[in-house]
Amino acid sequence: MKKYYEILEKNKKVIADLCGNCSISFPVPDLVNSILVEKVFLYPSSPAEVRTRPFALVTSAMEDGTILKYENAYVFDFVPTQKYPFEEKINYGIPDGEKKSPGEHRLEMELLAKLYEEIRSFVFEESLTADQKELLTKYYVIFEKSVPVAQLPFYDGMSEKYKKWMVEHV
Amino acid sequence: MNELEFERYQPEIVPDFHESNEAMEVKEWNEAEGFNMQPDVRHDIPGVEPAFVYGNAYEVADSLDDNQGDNSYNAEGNCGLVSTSNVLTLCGIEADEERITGEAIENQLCNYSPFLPPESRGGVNDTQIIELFKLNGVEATAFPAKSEEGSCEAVARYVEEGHGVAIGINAGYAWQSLAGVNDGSANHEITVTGTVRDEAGRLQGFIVCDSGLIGEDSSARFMSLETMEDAYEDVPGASAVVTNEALRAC
Repeated sequence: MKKYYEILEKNKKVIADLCGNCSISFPVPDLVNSILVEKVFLYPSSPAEVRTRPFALVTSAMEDGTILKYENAYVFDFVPTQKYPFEEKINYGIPDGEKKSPGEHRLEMELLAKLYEEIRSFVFEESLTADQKELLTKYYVIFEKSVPVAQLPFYDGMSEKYKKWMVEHV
Repeated sequence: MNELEFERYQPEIVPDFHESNEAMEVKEWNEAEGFNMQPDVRHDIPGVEPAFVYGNAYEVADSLDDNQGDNSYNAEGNCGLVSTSNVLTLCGIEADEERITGEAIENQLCNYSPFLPPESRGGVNDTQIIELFKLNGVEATAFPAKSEEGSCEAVARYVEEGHGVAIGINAGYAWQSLAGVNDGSANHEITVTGTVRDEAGRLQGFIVCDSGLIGEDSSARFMSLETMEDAYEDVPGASAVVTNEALRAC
């Protein structure tokens, strides 16, 4: 299986061709027709204070990163649009109330990325070792506190299976 | 060539491609306050004896950053951001690697993701460099190396006229290191701070600040014209980003 950062490097170019200059969320694993995939949402690269909600969803094969589906949020939505209109401003930075410097936040995200690379090797397995459980718990705790609340519905909406699996094991 | 004869050769100071009153004022200021349009005569440039160096390249070397990757963002592939901060410094704007890297990440003007290894973080393209200049109040234009406006001769002219210049090159060809060649296209950014001409006024090379090299001379390193042609002019994807106005306040 390719490392996620390799997939990201490869797919960034494809995504840029599809949507121009946009930003890519953290990946979320899912199982679609028994195939392991990863989903990311795309959001505008506009200045931080005017970034609006995610506008597209990209599904790629976890094994090699092949892009399987690009869905516009008009077609598929993570959450009811009436609750999150397209002009809704979203915080993509440090969660409100967290007293962290941008540097500290970035280090936390780097740790999260490192943990995620590990999780990919055992995601959706029914029984986990103690080490795997500890790693997953660490990831879950950091993710919940380092991702702003306004983004969480979009992450949860990408894969209910993943959220359920995590909650079961942490 | 005696001194009198030499004085006959001077880089042409002509209205530039984006000339404005403001640019002229800066140019006049530079000349009045000491921007050195007179060459520095040196005897330590390999293969050029004597060498006439334009652009105050050695005087400004100490104020430039020649070591990329020493920032708190773990971004080691930020040669373009370091070059941006160097050009801004030459324009008299307070800028360093830390601030420019942070600004680029915050404004999504560089390649950055926590998933990427440090060496892949901080990469920029010309559009992003130009946007970063703009954020700092400087307008700039990119010229492909293969175009007339992006050629070695044109780059020399920009430097001699006092423009800030950063160029994209192939590091492998520039450093004569196979490891840095990759696919042969532009993969590194450097700041051009000076030109080197011979007694007859023929362009013999450039003085550059190269943040990817470790060494005492990396902030004022001589690159022969031949090397520059191999590493820049003949390289796919290579280009020069040039400040629209002559802003160097050296």
